[in-house]
Amino acid sequence: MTIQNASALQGIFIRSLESSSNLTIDLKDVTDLDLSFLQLLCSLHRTSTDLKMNLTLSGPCPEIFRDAVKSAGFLRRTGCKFDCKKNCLWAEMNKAAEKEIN
Amino acid sequence: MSNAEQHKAVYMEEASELLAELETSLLELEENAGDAELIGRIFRALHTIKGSGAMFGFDDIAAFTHEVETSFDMVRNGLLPVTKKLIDLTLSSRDYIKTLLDEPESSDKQRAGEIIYSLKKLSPKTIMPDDVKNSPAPPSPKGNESEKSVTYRIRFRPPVDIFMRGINPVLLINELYGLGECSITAQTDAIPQIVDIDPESCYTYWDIVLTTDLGTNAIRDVFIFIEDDSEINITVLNDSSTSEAEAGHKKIGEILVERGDLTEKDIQKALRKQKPLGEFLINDRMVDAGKIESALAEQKHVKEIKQREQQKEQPADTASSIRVASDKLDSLVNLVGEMVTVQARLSQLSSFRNDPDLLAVAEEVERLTGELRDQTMSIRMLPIGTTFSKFKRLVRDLSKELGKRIELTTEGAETELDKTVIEKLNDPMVHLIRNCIDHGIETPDVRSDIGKPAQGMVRLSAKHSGAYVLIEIMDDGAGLDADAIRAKAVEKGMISLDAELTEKEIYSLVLAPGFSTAKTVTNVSGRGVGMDVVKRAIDNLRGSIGITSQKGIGTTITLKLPLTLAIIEGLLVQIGIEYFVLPLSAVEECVELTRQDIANAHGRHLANVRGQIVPYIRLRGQFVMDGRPPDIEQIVIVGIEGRRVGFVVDNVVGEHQTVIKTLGRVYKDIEGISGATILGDGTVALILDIQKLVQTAEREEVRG
Amino acid sequence: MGRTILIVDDSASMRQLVSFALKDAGYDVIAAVDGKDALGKVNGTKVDMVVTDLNMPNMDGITLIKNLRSAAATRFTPVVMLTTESQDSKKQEGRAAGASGWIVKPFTPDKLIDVIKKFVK
Repeated sequence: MTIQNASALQGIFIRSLESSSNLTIDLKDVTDLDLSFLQLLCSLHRTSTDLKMNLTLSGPCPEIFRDAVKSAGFLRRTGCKFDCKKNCLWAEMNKAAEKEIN
Repeated sequence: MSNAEQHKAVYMEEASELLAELETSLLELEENAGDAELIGRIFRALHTIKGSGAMFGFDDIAAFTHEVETSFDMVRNGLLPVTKKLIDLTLSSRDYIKTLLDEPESSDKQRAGEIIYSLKKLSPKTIMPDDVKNSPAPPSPKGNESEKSVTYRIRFRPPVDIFMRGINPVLLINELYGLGECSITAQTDAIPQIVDIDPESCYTYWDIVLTTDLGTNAIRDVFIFIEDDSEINITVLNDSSTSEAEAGHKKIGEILVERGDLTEKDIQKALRKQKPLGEFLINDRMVDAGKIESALAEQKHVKEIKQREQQKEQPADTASSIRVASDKLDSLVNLVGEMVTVQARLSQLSSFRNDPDLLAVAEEVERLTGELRDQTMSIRMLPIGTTFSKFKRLVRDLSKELGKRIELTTEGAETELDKTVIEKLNDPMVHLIRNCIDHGIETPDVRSDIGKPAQGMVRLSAKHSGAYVLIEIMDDGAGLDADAIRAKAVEKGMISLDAELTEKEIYSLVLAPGFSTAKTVTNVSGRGVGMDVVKRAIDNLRGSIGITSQKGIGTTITLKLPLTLAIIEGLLVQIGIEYFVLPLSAVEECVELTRQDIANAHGRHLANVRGQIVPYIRLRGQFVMDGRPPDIEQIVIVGIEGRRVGFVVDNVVGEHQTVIKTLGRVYKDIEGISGATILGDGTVALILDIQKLVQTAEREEVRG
Repeated sequence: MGRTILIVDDSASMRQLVSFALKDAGYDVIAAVDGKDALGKVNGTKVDMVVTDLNMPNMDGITLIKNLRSAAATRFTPVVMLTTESQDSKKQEGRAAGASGWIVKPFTPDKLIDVIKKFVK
């Protein structure tokens, strides 16, 4: 899930938007990822929200994904202005992380 | 031979070869003056001699060859013709370099000067390149920079094609962590829709707040390779010398205006709406939430840095402390509590009146009260270390009595906790440490037999985690025996034989009343009155106990305690006309409960939350309240001891920070209520004791 | 995970020095003597970063960078060029060709590693 296959991934995302109304992304087997992947997720979330579709990250969140989100400064408490459904991926993750600490 | 010498030897060998090649090429060039290939070869030879020479400490060679190389760079670019004179001079240069290499002592500085002078005379006057100025500035000597910490606000927008240049911007911003205290917020508002995005472009940019004593050059150095085509704005937020002058921290609005994300006019407009500024700005889409997010991060960062500085200054002032009777402090806290309540009322009133003057005063009072409250609470804070040191003696005496060898280590003794919490913590801690020593740590013989060091270890540590303090009591003893605990629990009828319990649940059985696993009863512990007493004490402090253990390796008991007992972060809920507060720390989520849901559950108090069955308690029924519940009720789901339990209320009002008032003696024994608080408009809200409520409900379940 | 760095320089002493510093910092190193050699070596081996000299016979550093940027496998690979202070125009040329950064000779091993760390973890 790096810049090397970002274009291919965009294609997959667009096709899955066309074929189904609920998207679930399982990150379990991700071994390497970078900023380009986070941008694509953000973008996909934006589009799916506009189309009134659901996008969820499923399964246990791998350490590597959490680290990448954190080190890129993506963890946040509130969604962006496109996030009218209040289910920003990063904000959800942040909540989960805070809960873990408590 | 050392590495450096080894490298030098390789260089000398290489340089000799290059000089030989240089000679041959120069002679060939004399025959074929226009051969670009030859010129290139000569240039490269000179270039390598210079470049590597500088690397391996042959500074004279590097400096001299640089001049010759400059001339040949001009030849290469067609600015200088190949003449006999040039070849002669270059050959002389070659000989001079050879001398520098083989017998540097005999080199003749004057000769070098002559060659360079003649070479320069050959060059066209207009081009005397002096590129040195344009090269990236060497890291500035630290002495020039001020040593004190400065907080910077950085906005970094990398070029969109940054990935295409093999640069990962995340690595660059993470480099900032190496410079000092750093908060990073990514701005994602520029990321297009999935069909429009170019997946190989970078749309993200960052707001960073950094406190460092290394100066702006160090920050610029991080982005050195892309500073020409990135947007890098560095502004100084404050430095330690001025921080005292501008007391207090900036408001979100001010930060946004300073950053240019918002105009002063927008702020005025927003303030007139009298909602929390951030919320309003997002709702109105005047500014992206990401901008607010980063403004908040900045506010927090600056505040933390300031606190740290104050703490740093403190040790010098410790001499000027005074002793105060603790009941004076208690009454001060009480007064502050009343003050907070009154202030909340003032804020509420002023927002109804819509009088700008009154609003301004109310805001000021709000700020002052907040500070007063924080300060007062901090007065009551004591380092936990004093308690820790008491245990040293306890461990020493006990281990002697039991014939064990145990070392006690402590960590985080400086962690501060409310005085009352510390006092009430003493007994449970003593109990836990006794347990460690008695049941946990094996005798030296046993330990040696299983390959552990004869001396056992008990470690106490304390650290902050949000509004809580975590205290860990860790031993490297035998660990808990899950099977034994289970068997015992079955024997005592606490669980059924076929109950499926997780390890965590099994360990928590230890905390139940009347449980003890020690096979022999000793003087120290093991009468089965231990852990449930500890549990009750910690519950009373609104804390929780966690147990982890590995058989044969040790046990860790974690106590999670609120920083202070006087304030509770609560979730305000409503049933009929009454208000209640649930401790926010336990709340996990809120879901709706419709008539349909109730019908589906066939009379059982169970809700289906995303496939998980959550039992719930109807508070309306629990408190025998009249009136009809609304069609859609709310379930507030809390986590208690690893389980999820719901509380059904009419309405969830929102988060609420309150000062706890203890109930009078008459109400002291009412189960399920742990205190009360007064809301902004003067109404009383009761604080729910969720643990008690769940226990009561369970008892009734068993009976019913 | 071990990161592999390719050092491209026609000077044996530079190759040795750079290799030594990189290995010391825990990277795997492969070396090439010029651009052509380097292209042959990235073909088939996964290289996480390239450090290249600019002036080399057969194929110079700038051409190498252009080639790396147009090959699918190395389009996004960080490429740092070794330059001398007299080569500001070369530096611009290298950047235009897609170089990620540069290191000015002479440099110390520490400086080299500092720059490497900007590009690979």
